[in-house]
Amino acid sequence: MHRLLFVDIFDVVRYRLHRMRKKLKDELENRNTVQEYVCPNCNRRYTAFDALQLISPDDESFRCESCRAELVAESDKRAAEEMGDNDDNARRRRREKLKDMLQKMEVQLKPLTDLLNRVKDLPVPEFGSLQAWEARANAAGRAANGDPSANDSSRSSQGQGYGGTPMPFLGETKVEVALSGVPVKDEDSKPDVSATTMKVLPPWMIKQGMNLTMEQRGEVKQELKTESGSTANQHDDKKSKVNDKDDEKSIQDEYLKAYYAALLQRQQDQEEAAKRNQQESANTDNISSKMPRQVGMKSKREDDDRDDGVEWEEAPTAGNANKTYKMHDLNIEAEPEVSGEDEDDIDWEEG
Amino acid sequence: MFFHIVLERNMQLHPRHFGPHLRDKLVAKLMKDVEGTCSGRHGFVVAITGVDNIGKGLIRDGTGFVTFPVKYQCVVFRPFKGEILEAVVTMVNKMGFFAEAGPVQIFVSNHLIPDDMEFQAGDVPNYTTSDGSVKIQKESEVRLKIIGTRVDATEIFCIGTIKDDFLGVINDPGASS
Ligand SMILES: [Zn+2]
Repeated sequence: MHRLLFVDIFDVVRYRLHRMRKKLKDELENRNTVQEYVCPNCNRRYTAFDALQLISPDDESFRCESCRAELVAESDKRAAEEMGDNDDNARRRRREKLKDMLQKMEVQLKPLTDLLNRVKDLPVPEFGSLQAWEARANAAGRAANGDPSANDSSRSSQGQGYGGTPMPFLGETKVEVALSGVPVKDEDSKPDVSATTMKVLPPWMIKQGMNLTMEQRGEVKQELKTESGSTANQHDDKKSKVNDKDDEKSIQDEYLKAYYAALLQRQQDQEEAAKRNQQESANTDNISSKMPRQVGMKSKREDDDRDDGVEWEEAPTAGNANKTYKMHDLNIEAEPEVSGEDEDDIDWEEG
Repeated sequence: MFFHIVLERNMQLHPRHFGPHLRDKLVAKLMKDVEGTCSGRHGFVVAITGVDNIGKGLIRDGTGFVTFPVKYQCVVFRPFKGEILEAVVTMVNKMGFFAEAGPVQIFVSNHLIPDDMEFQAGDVPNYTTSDGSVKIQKESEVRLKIIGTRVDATEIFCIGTIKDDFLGVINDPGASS
C-alpha cells in the first residue's frame, strides 16, 4: 500500500530545493573553495593548506617561501587585474553558467515553490500509520454492525490530530511515530485497561466500585479450577486435559457473552438515565450544579477502576460519551481477549 | 570526530627492562611513544585505554633489543571535511585567522569569514562587524566547519569556514571583559 506522508514529503522537497540553491550559491560565492595565494614576485602559488608554513615570524603576514615577498590572495589579484589569462576566463565562464543555472532553477521551479509556500502554513492532513488506519477501519466496520457508538473514527483522528494547529512539522511526525511504535490499541489507554480488568485480578485489587463483573470473574475462576481438577482426577490421562481446555473455553465464551450482554444492558440503562437527567435538568432550568454532579458521580466510579481514563472523560458530551466509550472499547477487546484465552488457561492450570 | 579503535604497534625494548615488570615497562613506553602523536590515517592518539595483547618478543640480530607486537585500544581524534568543530582562535592576521581544536590546527582564510566582518589591525588584530557587536580575536571561541583537510603521514592540517549558518563566535572574551 502506497501512502504519501505529507508532512515528510513537504519537508523533503523543501530541503532538497534548499540544498540545490545553497550548492549553487556557495560555488558562486567561492564559499567552499580553498583560498589560493600567489607570490607577486616569482609567481609561485600556494594554497590555504600551506598557511602554517607561510606565516612570517616577524609581522604575521604570509611570505613566499623562496623570495620572502608578501603573498597576495588570488581573488584580490583577480579583482585587481580584472581581465586575466585563460584560466581566469574559464572561471568566469563557469560563474556565468552557475548564475544562469541558479536563475533557471528559480524560474522553472517557481510553480513548485509557489505551491510549497501556499501549503506552508496549512495544517497537514494526518492519516496516521497503517496500523492506525486499519484499526480505524475495523472500528468503523464494527460501528456499522450495530454498535451505536460510531464516534470512533472521529475520536481516533482527534487523538492523532493533536497537531491540528498549523505548522509544527516535527510535532506532527512525532505524534505519528508514537502511534506506529505502539500498538494502536494503546492509543487510548482505555481498551488496555479493560483488558487488564478482564484478566484475573488479585483479591486486594478488587474494589467495591468494580461491581458484578469482577465478582463474577472470581467465581468463574474458582469453578474452572475445581472442575479441571476433578476431571483430571477421573480420567488421569492427557486427553482429558484437552477436553478441559475446551470446557474452559466454552465456559469462558459463555461468560464473555453474558458479560457483554450485561454490559450492554447496563449501558442502555445508563444512557436512558442520562437522557432523562438531561431532560430533567433542562426542565428544571438547568441548575448548573446538578448535571455535572451526576455526571461526576458516574465518572468517578469509573475513575476508580481506571486511573488514566480521566482525561477522556472530559469530553464535551459528558456522561453519554463515557458509556459509549465503554461499550465500544469492550468490543475492540472482544476478539483479542478470546484469542488470548489459551494463555490464560495455561496460567491457571499451572497456578 | 573521536573514535575508539584498536591499533597495533611493534615495541622495541632494551633487555635491561626484562624482569617481573616487563609488561608494565612496555605499557609505560607505549603511552609515552604513542599518546599525542598523529598519524594521517587514524588521526591524533588522544589516550590509550587498554592493552589487549602483547605478543611474543623477537630478539633482533646484533642489537639485543627485543620487539614485541602490542595490540592496544585508544581514543583517536580525526577531523573530517564537513565536520563542525569548536575551536579557540590562536592568531589573527589580514589573511584570516588560525584556531585550534585540541591538537588540530585550522586556518580560516578571510574570504571564508562573513563579508560584514572587517580586519582591524593593531595591538590586538581582529575581525569585527561594522556595528562592533561581533569580534574575532585571539582567544575567541568559534564554531567552524572544516572544508578541507591536508593529511600527511604525521600531520593533519585543516582549513575551515565560518561563512555559513550558525557558525562564528560562540564566546567573545573582548565582550565579557
Ligand atoms: Zn616568491
